[in-house]
Amino acid sequence: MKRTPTPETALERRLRGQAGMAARLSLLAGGAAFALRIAMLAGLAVITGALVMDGAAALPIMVAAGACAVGLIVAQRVAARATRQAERDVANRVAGLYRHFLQTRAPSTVHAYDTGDLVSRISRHPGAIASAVITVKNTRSLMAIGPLMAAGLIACLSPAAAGLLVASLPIMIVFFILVGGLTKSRAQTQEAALSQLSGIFGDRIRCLPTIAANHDVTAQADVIGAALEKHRRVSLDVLKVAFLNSAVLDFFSSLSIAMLAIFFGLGHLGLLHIPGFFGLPLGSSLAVLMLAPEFFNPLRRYAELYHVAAEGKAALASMASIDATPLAEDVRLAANGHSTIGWHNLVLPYVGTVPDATLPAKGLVIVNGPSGSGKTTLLRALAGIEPPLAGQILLPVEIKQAWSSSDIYLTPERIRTLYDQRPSLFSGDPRFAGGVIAPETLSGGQSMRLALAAALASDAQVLFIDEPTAKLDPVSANHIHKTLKAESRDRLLVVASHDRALIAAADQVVSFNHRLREVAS
Amino acid sequence: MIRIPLPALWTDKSWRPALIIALVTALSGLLLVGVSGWFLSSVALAGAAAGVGATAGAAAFAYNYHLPAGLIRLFAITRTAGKYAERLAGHAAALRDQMKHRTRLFRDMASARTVYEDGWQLSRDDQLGAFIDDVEKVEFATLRASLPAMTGMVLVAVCLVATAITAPLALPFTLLLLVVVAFYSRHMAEKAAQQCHDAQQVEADWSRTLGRQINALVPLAGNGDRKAALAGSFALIEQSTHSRSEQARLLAGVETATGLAAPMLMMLTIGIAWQTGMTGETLLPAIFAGFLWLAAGEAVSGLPRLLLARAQARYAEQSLESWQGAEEYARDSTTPLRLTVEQRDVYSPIGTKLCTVSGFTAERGRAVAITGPSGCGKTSLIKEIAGWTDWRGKTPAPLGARRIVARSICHLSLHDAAIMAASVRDNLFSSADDTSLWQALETVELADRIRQNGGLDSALEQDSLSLGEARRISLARAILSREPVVLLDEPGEHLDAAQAKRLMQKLLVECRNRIVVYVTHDERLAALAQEQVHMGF
Repeated sequence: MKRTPTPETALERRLRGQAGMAARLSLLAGGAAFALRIAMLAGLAVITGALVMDGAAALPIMVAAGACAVGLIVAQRVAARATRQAERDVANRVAGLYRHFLQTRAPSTVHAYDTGDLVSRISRHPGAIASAVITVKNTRSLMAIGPLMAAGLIACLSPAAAGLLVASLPIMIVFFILVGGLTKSRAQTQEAALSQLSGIFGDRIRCLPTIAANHDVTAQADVIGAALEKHRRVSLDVLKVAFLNSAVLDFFSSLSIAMLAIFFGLGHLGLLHIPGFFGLPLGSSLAVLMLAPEFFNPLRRYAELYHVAAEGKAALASMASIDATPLAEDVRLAANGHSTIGWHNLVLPYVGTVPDATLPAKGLVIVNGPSGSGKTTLLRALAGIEPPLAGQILLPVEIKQAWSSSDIYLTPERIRTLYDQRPSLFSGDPRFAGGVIAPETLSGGQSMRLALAAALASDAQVLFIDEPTAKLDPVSANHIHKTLKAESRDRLLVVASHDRALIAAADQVVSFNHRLREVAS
Repeated sequence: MIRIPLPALWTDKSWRPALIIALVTALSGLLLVGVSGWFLSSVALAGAAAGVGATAGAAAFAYNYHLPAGLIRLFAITRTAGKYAERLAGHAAALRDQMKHRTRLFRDMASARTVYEDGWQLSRDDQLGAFIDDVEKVEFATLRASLPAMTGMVLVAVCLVATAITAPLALPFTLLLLVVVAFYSRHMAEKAAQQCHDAQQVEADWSRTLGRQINALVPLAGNGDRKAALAGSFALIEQSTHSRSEQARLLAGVETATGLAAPMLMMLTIGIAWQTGMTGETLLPAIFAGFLWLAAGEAVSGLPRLLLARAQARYAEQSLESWQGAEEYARDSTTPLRLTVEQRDVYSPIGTKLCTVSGFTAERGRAVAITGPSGCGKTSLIKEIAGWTDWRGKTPAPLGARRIVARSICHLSLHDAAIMAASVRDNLFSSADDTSLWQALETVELADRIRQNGGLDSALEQDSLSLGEARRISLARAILSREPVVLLDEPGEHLDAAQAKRLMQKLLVECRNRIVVYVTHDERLAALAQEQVHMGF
């Protein structure tokens, strides 16, 4: 029976598959490097044994050990290069998925996530997922192959020693399961407490200006201290169990060296007549001694990646949920023979049905209503930014549009250019007198006027303008009224606003007033 | 400084046990392999001398194997137990360090200028995440770098002594090899850390840009600029990925070299001893030294990572320093009778003159409201009055020349005040009794909401409150505060006009015995004050 994969495992498989050759080469070269390393160690043991026993070592074995060392260097280089390439590939693909998400979803879908959180995911997830998909996965495969290779080589020298090592595996696994169960139950009960306690420091740093304004720095420092003290006690409690995992590995690795050394020693002395431990050349027994830790090494390396694996898994899960959000398509229809904008049976989220209307090709159209009534929602639907729930929006063929709202994206250079294009919009605001202006330092009214300058400077036939005078003083607002009226002679301006003076100047008003209605003037 | 210099590991009370355990464990591991190698070689020689076959057992009588076999068992057990104890003791010490470091860091940051200036960057998730990463790099540097460096040095020293005794001629070669490995590792680790640091700068840049682009997704989409603008940011992200993989390349190269160092040191010691004519029994001490080197392999191959952790901690420490300040605290009990500001110019944070404000005087029961269009520098002015930033007027500062004194007698209600992840009580920052707290919550029309939430000791978080509710918590803090001067920045923000007016009226009554100054862009709210001052271009 075939199990359906969870979204994250499906995503993991897809990414791994896309990394293709590099991912396979990385695993292959990694395996080869491990094989060459144990072969080299065995060679060195044989040389040492020969030097002790015979006072000379055979040239071929020296050449072979040297060749293994050179091969090891090459294999490791290849493995490192392939791993890097594969990880980079996966990281870029993950970043690409995020780019696709930001480029193709409705802004409301994107804004359901906190911006800072989203940026921090985009900075962490590519690396975390790349490690999980390539390094962790390869290490897991090596954990299966590595001990087998080491055991195989040892079996060539002493089948009994190999049998001893392999026999330790099931015992070790039983230990792992026992310890793992213990860790899990302990960690699960403590995890929430731990993350809450360790989160207090970050939270208080976030709130630092507020804490300073309320003269509570000393008390909050004590709160942090107390939380961390508790965190220390709880995490030591968890670590006591968690470290048992590595202790099991260390125990078997140390024990195997000690046992093998003593068994082989007794064999050499002729006190132990077990085949495989008796009558071996020194080179072979030294080789087994040196290879025994290598038998456990792949297991240890995988255990060390525990955190990387957990982080990658969490990243994959949240990436999969982002990847599953619905696409937003521009559902507006290019209406042939229709030279103006209109809508038909339109239903908008949080607003409901909007009565049909047709807008003129030129002029000033005001979408009016109290805040929260759906002015902006209608404007966004008309501009094709957020899809409506149902209904049709008709557009003239090949129309060019521009959008203006105070949340405009600006750079210092753009600010300068826009200001220079329409200085009159800014009624002599001294902020723009000179120097570089960081976009973060602009007020809402300043950004709005820059956005308006950008829209007016474009050659678009339809301008969508959201709340152009909301944050302005009466003098500046009055100037904007005049500018908009003048601009509406040549093109269509659709403006969301509850500014009375602007409504008075409109050619057409679409009014939202609890119950939606359209008023033509 | 959290990074402990190496000798201080010994003098520091919490690190000493960890260091002792680590040393004992490392030496046991070294001796386990060294003695095992020597023992096998030695018994093999003894066995061969006695011949193989029926008489072989006789060799055993001539050879006392009980001592080495016992030692091997002892070392194996010590190493296993020691590793576990070492991890635990190391983490215990590191966590203790963490506690000291974070409370101290918090205090130092509270006295840094950046906290009092505009736009607290660490209120953003991504910036806070990068900051916490730096904090952790510094805190765990002792565990990840200093402790293994110290034990590694002792191990290498033991191996060198053993080499000097058993194969003196091999000493210069082993030293040379070690020096080369150490310098190469250091060089590459520094380079990788530098790259990591540069990549972090690039990342800080694009994360700021990307954050602003995400916030501006609506206008970007409306103007058809969305694809192009985001493509630019994501090109920088690919660059970050590239430099991270370059860093991995540097590290992988040097790890290949250090991984081979231990077997090479082993063969160097044994080979040179053999070259100088040692064979059989006389070669055994060199075999012992050689196997010691093999066991030291873990310490040697870990060198690049350890040096990288050290270098990264250094960079992290530098970037943390920029958040820290050294201003002292002052608690002043003077109660000013009035707050007078003469006519003066107002400047933007970068020093551009924004507008002029006429003089005013606020007294108890005589609140002043400052109004003006957005962007005219209202927040800058009120922060200067509160002693949060330097006073830039020509006449003296209204609350005295010392900023810290001014700060201590003001309650400044920030327009972007945060909610802590803590109980309602803690979030009110007041030691007043429950009745007063409930009264204040009633005044700001939050009592029902808090009762629903579970009372004064129920938990709050930034996201559990709407912006308007957070604003009202902030007003409750102002009412409950005890400082003689109350300064409010946009008290009506995120509230509807009627509620803003109602709350402000009540707040002015509650604070009638204190000096109140507030800035607002809402003329109706300003009308509630006894005096209104207008700021204009």
